[in-house]
Amino acid sequence: MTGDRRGRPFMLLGHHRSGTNFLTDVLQAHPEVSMVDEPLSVHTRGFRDTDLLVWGADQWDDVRVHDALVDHPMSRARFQRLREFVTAPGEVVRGFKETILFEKMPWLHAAVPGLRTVLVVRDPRAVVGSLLKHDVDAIWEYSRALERYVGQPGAHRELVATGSPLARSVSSWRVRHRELLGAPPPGLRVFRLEDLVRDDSDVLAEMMRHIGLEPHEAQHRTMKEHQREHRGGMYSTYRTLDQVLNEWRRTLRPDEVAYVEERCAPEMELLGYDR
Amino acid sequence: MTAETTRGLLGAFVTVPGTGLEVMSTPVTADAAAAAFNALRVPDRAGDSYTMVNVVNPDTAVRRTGHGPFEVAPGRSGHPATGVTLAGARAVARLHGGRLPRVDEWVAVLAAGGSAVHDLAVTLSASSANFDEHWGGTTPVDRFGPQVLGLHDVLGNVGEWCEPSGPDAAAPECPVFGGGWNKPLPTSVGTAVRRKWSEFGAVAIGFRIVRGEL
Repeated sequence: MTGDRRGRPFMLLGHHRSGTNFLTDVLQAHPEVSMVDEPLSVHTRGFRDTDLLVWGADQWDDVRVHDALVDHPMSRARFQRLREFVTAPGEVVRGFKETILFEKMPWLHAAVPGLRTVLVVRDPRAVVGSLLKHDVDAIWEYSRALERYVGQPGAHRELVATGSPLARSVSSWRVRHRELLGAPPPGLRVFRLEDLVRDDSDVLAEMMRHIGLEPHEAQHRTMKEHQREHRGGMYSTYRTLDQVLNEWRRTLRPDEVAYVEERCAPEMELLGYDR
Repeated sequence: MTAETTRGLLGAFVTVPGTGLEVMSTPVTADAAAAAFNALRVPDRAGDSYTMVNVVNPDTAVRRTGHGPFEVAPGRSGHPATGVTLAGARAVARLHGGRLPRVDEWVAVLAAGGSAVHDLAVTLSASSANFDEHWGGTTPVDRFGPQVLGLHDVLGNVGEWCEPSGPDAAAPECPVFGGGWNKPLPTSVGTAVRRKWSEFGAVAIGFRIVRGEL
């Protein structure tokens, strides 16, 4: 361990069901990494209630945090606490994992200058298959979030369809990735979950170097251990390679696959997923 | 429900041999915690954030809908009380005339039972303890037999809030002892203790009450 890690805050960001829990375990297996898990999405109401509301850099305020949080004093306090945590001096690299904030990156970068983002993406067919299987649309209130989104000036309304859990799941995935990848913030690196689980060595090394560290053997052990068998429930990080890559082929109907491939065609091409 | 009647929901206390310390035989259940928070009239509601109970995360064992009473999540009766912050755990402990244990007290408890973390860990397996996601979530606090001195779930099921002490007493991150259902089985004191944000109520963190002193 060497020196002061202040100024190297990072965020692990990924859509629901994209492997973020697994990747959090892998990152935290490194002895020089300290992370907080979903500090805003599962520990505040303010950030959940503003999901998919785009926030600009000029809307960051050191005291008010954001005008939309005026009625959420504890959410403001939690965010300030998070800022303090990830920018604290010390010998570990500090970060947090989130599944929201895709559309708030300019604001987030104004609040946390120098933030490095590891965006983990996954084949949208796999993501949507898992979202439908676990009823995530209802849990995370995609309908409300998408309604908020389309009500904003500049929203990509053509990406949004809300008539079914399938449509809302696809819309959530498209909107979040379009908002982020349409204007990538500084310090963003995109990693495909499939590349990491197929061959962890090079991909993991790139990821760790992006946050300022070299990979640790404990991380490779964690990855290997967590891919040996399927275990646990909805949020389990134990999945075999076949499940990660191919479960959607068993759970999505052909018409659902066709829907996802048609709607997500531009993003799939951008991210290198063959249809 | 009054504090007196909630006491009936707590498990038994075990006296640690050679000490004046009494330890609850199991983590506090969601049932006991919900009753305690109702007796305490905890203000946390499904609004902004929370101070004692994570009312935002729907996956915790103790929950509340709007301004209604605290309740046990469906299927979680008898399970450890998860979603409780350090402040919430302290409040429940105080209500019942106790406090939270320190890490050194856990070490002493194990020693009094002729054991250490590693010694205990090697006796456990996925069929006798809840760790590494083998069970997919928490299990009832008496699901498995006692691990040491008549105490259940010392390792596994939930990590348990500890009262911070020493040079780390003022740190915002507090010790949690014992691993958890989604963590590897600890094999040493070092791996048995995690440091977590005290203001967060999490799905794999619970607590138990102690009375007296070592």
